[in-house]
Amino acid sequence: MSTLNWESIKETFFTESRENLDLMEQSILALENGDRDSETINALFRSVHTIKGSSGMFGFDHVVRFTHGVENMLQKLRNGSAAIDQDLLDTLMLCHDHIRKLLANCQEGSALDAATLRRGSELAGLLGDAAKEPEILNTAGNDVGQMLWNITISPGAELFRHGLDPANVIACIANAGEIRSIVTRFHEPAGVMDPETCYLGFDIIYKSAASREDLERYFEFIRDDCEITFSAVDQQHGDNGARGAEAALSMHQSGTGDENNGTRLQHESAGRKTARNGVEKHSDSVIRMKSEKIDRLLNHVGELVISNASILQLARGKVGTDLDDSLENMSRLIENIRESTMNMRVVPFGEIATRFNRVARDLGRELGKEVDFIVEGGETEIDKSIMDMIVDPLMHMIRNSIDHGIETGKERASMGKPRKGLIRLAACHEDGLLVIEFSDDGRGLDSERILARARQKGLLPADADVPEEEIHRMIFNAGFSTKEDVTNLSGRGVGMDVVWKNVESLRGSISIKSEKGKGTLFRIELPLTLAIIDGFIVEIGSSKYVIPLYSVTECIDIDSGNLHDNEGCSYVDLRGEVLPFVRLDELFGCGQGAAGNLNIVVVENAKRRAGLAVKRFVGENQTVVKPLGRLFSRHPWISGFTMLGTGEIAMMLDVGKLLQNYRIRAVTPKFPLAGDHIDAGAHVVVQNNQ
Amino acid sequence: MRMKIIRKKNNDGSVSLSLIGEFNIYTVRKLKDLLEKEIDGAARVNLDLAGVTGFDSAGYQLMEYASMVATKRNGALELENKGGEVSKLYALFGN
Repeated sequence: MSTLNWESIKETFFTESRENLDLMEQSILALENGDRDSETINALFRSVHTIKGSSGMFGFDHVVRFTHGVENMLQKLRNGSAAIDQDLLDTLMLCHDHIRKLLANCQEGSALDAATLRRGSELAGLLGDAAKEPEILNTAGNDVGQMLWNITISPGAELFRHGLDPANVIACIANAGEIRSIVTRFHEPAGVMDPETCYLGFDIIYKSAASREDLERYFEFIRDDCEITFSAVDQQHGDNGARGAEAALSMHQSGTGDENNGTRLQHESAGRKTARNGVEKHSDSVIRMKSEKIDRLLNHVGELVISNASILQLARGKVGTDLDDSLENMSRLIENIRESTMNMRVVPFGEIATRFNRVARDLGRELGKEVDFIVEGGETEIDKSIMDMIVDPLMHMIRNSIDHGIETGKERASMGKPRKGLIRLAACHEDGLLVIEFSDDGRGLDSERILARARQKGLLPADADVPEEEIHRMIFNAGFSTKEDVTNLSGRGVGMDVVWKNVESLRGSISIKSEKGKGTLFRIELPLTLAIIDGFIVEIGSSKYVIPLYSVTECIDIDSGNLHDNEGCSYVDLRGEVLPFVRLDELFGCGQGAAGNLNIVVVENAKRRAGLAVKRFVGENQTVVKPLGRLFSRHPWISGFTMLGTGEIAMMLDVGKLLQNYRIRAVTPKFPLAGDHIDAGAHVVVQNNQ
Repeated sequence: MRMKIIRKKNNDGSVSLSLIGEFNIYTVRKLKDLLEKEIDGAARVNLDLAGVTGFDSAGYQLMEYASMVATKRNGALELENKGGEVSKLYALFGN
């Protein structure tokens, strides 16, 4: 407790309030989509109620006032005295935005500007009578001379036997001031429970104009039988009363006040503890911590993985059976620790996907387009750091899709499509990769316009025959837009290049499939994690390199007689199919590889396959990816480095960039079968674009 | 008599107890023994508090204890009809 302070509790309050606001938003969207059951309305109510309760504890009375009005309106929905219609839902959504704004203001510590104040009044007007009930004014209260107190009552065991009841004193102070929150503790008896012994305790946050002396007077009767502490809560800085405030905050999380009786009763009927114990249950099952702490742990685990590899290396060739078993056991445990740590960082994909719901709704309305937004695979687990970096790209894609892709209802109807456009966002794990698919049923990419624009900008040669996929990829160039009108949403050619860059920085790839008039599908493939991956180690020249295992499809040993290696065109016949390859020793300036058989690692990225010829295959290894220093950070095909068990440094190859920079063009998909001559029209090029 | 208890065994094996009268420091000892036995004997105990006329911190404490015991024994204690004094005290104690 000594490390707790008011600021950290406040930070928790803001984090949890944002979560409640997300919940509020989701509930409103659910109501809009027709889920008008009582559970959705209750969830909406609870989220607002919790924000109100917690805000009051921190003295954000203007938030309390506003949320109280919203809460009153929601109460009317709950008891059926008001009906849900689209106007009301729009108002509630605006109220949600306003509460978010108010809380952001509180967090920044900035004063409310005139526009925000005006907005609050407008919304209160829209909510009607509900926002004007006298209770609001009471809650706002006149704070002059009012103090916030943290009162802890720890009754002695004999309290009841002496004919005293703490409830009387608490009722008394409740009449003289305002109990902001109260947590009632029940200390489990060590032995047999004696019902006449007092095991209760109370933590109270109390607001009153009473002086300390006045307060002490209320407790005069029970003072001899209780340990009572009073401390003034400094609402700005001090950490006095932080413990009580924290408890109070938790209390608010679980819901307080009469409104939640129904919920509490359900909990009790399920044989669980009461609401108070529910708070304890909550804190047992969820630990909130800064993600940097997990990152630090992951870093240590990474070092552990390296140390383990080093021990295995040292023990190689010297092991006896016992040592073997122990090493195997240790490796297994380290693998378990690695997995558990990685799991701590994952969040369900649906968590971000729901944010986009609102974006789709608002943009659709702004542009007069009807859009259905569906999310598939919401339960797919995704690394938090990857999620943070993928949010913006996906947001851009949704904006682009609604602005450029989805047609207006009228246009769609004339084309025989449903009036409502459809945007689909799906996620799944596939072959050790996280795959995110974003698709719409809009007008699709206009290849001709893109090609013309790309040629005009000099991005593509005027006379070359460019494959469809290559044309589509042009949209990822910075400043590329075929749209004549620049809107405030898109059209400036800014956005898709950001999508490309972010996906690339995550060592991922993105491919496009689009059909004019039918829609577009973006497929993003990302590694499951960034920090520790399974790697395949190869030797090139005298150095070792790591290729991410998820990119490797197979390793082949090709007889030099089967190589076709002339005029910059390198390819082999892999079971009747073309496999272009690049000799990494030559590329990296490590001299010519040895004559004879060639070791080729077959890699795949963004649905493109190629071979990487290396000197030697070393084997698989758990790889802790370390970032490169400034000198190498812009290297075209090295994405990081790792330390091997032997203490050697191995560079990590970025397969995506390697294939991109050595662009592979296969004009005919099938390689002529062994014995056939290569058709004049078929050529495979491994071409250096650097 | 300060307290009267009406016991009913239901078809599903659960037991319903209706408490009538005072549920406070004067009656908690007797009630504790009775509740422990019932929780031991049935997977589910329904406690109807509609007839409770006197409820204090000792009564509240016993409810907390009984709920805890029921949970530990994988049973359930359901409090029904918390009206009047009972609901007032629960509200005062933040529940």
